Amino acid sequence: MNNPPSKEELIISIINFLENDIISELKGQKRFHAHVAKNSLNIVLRQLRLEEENNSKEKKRLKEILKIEGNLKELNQILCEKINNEEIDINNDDLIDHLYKTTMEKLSIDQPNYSGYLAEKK
Amino acid sequence: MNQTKKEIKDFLISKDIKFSSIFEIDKLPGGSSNETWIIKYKNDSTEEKIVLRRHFQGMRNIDNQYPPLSLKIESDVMTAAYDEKIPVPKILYRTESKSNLGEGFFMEFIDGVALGNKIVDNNFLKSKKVNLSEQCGYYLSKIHKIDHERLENIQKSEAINEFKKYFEIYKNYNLSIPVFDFSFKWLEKNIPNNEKLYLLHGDFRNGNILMSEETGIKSILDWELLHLGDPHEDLAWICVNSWRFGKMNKPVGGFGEREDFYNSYEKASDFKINKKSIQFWEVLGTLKWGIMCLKMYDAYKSGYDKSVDRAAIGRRSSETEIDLLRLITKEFLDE
Repeated sequence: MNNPPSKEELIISIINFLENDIISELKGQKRFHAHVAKNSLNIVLRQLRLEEENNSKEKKRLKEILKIEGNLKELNQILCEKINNEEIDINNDDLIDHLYKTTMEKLSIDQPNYSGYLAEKK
Repeated sequence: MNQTKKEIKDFLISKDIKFSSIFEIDKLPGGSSNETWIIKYKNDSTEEKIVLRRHFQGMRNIDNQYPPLSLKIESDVMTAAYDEKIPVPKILYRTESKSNLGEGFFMEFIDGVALGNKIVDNNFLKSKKVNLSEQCGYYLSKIHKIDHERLENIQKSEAINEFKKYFEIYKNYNLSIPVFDFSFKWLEKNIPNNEKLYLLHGDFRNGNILMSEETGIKSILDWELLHLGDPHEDLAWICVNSWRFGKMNKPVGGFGEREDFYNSYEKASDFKINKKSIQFWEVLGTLKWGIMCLKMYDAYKSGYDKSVDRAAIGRRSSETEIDLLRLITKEFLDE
């Protein structure tokens, strides 16, 4: 086990550094890139907090729909195949429910301020 | 770089002696298949500008499967649009592919705001006296009415072609994104019938339209995706949520209402807009942007562009997933 700080604390310290000391000093493309860098670190931070729970929920749903075992990547591959060859109908309610839930979980990490995400959350 | 600047200056002087006064030449950042250069010169004592657009000279990262549109065709169509009084920059001189500068053209510089998030900004919208959606509908109908029979070598791409093209690009990335497969399957089952082909701009959206607070649309830019196809493609693309810049309740580019846009389009043409076709093209447009995000990330992954935003943009593809689901299961995103 490592000594403190935690990985979250390290990331937060860099986010604060970019926000308070760096971004305001830069102009043009570099300023834009520093802003993107800060956003990327925020994605990583949210992923550290939420990924495990999101993935286990996604996997549970996939196993119920597909009725097979496998890791997340394999299960998603199989789901895509079954959608493509129409073994699963795109009007299937369980499928649509799963896709909505998974997408909302992904966006809670990637872009929780996205207009489409906020509208669906309401 | 200095060599190119000298070639630009020499070319222009050979066309008009006034260009002896050129004092600054800059290449704009960005651009995927084409370079844009701004050339500043003095006419009497006033400062003037002219723009060069030419194929990217490095020739790296050029997509062999879908090569960029010839700039000769692009300038032919822009000239035809100019003749029809559609606001586009006037083409001034062309350069041949065998010349030092390569294939390209010089066009007039037009001042205005093109940045999407500035245009959807309340202050920009409030200060204007014109209806931007109506202007968009009117000019788009004029583009679609251009007589393309007299223009040469314009590719046609209908719903089925566009569908296949993006499905192939997605499959080549070997990713399993179930919402994308779900959306492609829905599209496959809903391909619209299209009787007549029209000239399409191909990238008519907020960000490619130069505007001013006073008069609205000043110039329609970025014609490199022009082709012959279904008018609904252009009508839907500007309403894709990714081009509303966060203003989801303003379906047309984040600045206007569908009704104004469609009514003014139909009024200026003899074309009847079909709602089901709009839905199809809005789904395909949204999916296209999701796949483009992955494509831009691929430029990072391949080592071609190591910038921080090329890496991050891959994660923006999930934004399109929620829009796709809502478009397919609820028909439209508007609140």
